[in-house]
Amino acid sequence: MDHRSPMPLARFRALLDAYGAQPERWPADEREAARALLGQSPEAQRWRDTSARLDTVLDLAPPEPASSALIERILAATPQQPSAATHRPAAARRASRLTRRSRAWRYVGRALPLAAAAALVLWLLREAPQPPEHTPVTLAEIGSYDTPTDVLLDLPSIEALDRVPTFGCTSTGLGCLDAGAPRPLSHSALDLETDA
Amino acid sequence: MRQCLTRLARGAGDERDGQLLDDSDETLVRRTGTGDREAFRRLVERHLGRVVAFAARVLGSRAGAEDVAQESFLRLWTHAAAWQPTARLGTWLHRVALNLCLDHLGRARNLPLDDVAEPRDPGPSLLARAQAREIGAHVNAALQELPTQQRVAITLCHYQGLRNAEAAEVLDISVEALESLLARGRRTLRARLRDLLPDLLGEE
Repeated sequence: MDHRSPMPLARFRALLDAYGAQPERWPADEREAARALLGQSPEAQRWRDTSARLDTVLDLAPPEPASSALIERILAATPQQPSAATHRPAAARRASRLTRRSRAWRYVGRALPLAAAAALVLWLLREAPQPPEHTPVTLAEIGSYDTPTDVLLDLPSIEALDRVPTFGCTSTGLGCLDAGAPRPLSHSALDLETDA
Repeated sequence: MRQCLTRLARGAGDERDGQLLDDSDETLVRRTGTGDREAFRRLVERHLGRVVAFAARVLGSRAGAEDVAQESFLRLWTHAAAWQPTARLGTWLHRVALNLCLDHLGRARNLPLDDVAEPRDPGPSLLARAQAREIGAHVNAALQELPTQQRVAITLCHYQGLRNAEAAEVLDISVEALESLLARGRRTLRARLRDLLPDLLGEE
């Protein structure tokens, strides 16, 4: 609003209704325009005088004075120091937050290797080879093999070359240790043969 | 080296003097936040009268106003360290005091009717005398009969001298809403007081 031009009458009336007749109570940015209107409008002056009478009556209600003892009462009621929990200086609160954060990171630093180790153990356990569900002996019992030789070939504890007769191999240069002579079967293999 | 030490010592002395001389609200609140009771005392001495006056008009009770003032300054003491100078201390104190007053009024409303004082009937003899003290009692009684928000708005702007933006901030409303409250409150006051004080407010 242009402070050099007078305020509209309607706004001046609203100003008086709200703030009364004292210019120091009017909004600072409207004061000059209101004064400009007052200087040239008898109607505005009449409204201002009416509003001033209400101000005068309102001012006849003096404020309650504070008793002198109240200051001492307030000072006596305050704790010696502002509450440490909620009202520490801002710098102290910031330092405390930083301490808490660094403490939390220390815990994270300790926990991470432990968690990684646990995850590795679980992964290794998951990937470990599982023992076969059925041993060759069991498979023989349920008829999965055609001949007793198949059983012997599948036994991990028996070296097949040592146990299988070397029919047809007569050359020691080829590794035929005892060409032409069948080697005795081991006791366990005999048991297998008997069982089968 | 000696010159440097001398300069440092002088600088520290100036700073101490500066702290002693600077008694702005902001500085005193900052010192209060560190537990400086002397700074707190100065704030109490500076603002107590206005807080009591404000609370007394809102509550219509001096005893209640002193309780509100005490609690308001206790909160200042405990919150000073966290103080952010985004608003004037006076505005902040008015807001704290208003909240406490509203709590106080809420508790009073919950009391049995027998415990609530009846509004005083001024009576014809009072009107005839029209002494200033009696007029003041009329005004206070009329203020107490206003809706709380209108009473607070008039108290903040007319009696406490807050700027409109500050009063709106205390009430947490817009300036336009504040002006509406003020206009309605003053209109009601005029109507009630005109009947009691026709010689002062009888003419339009």
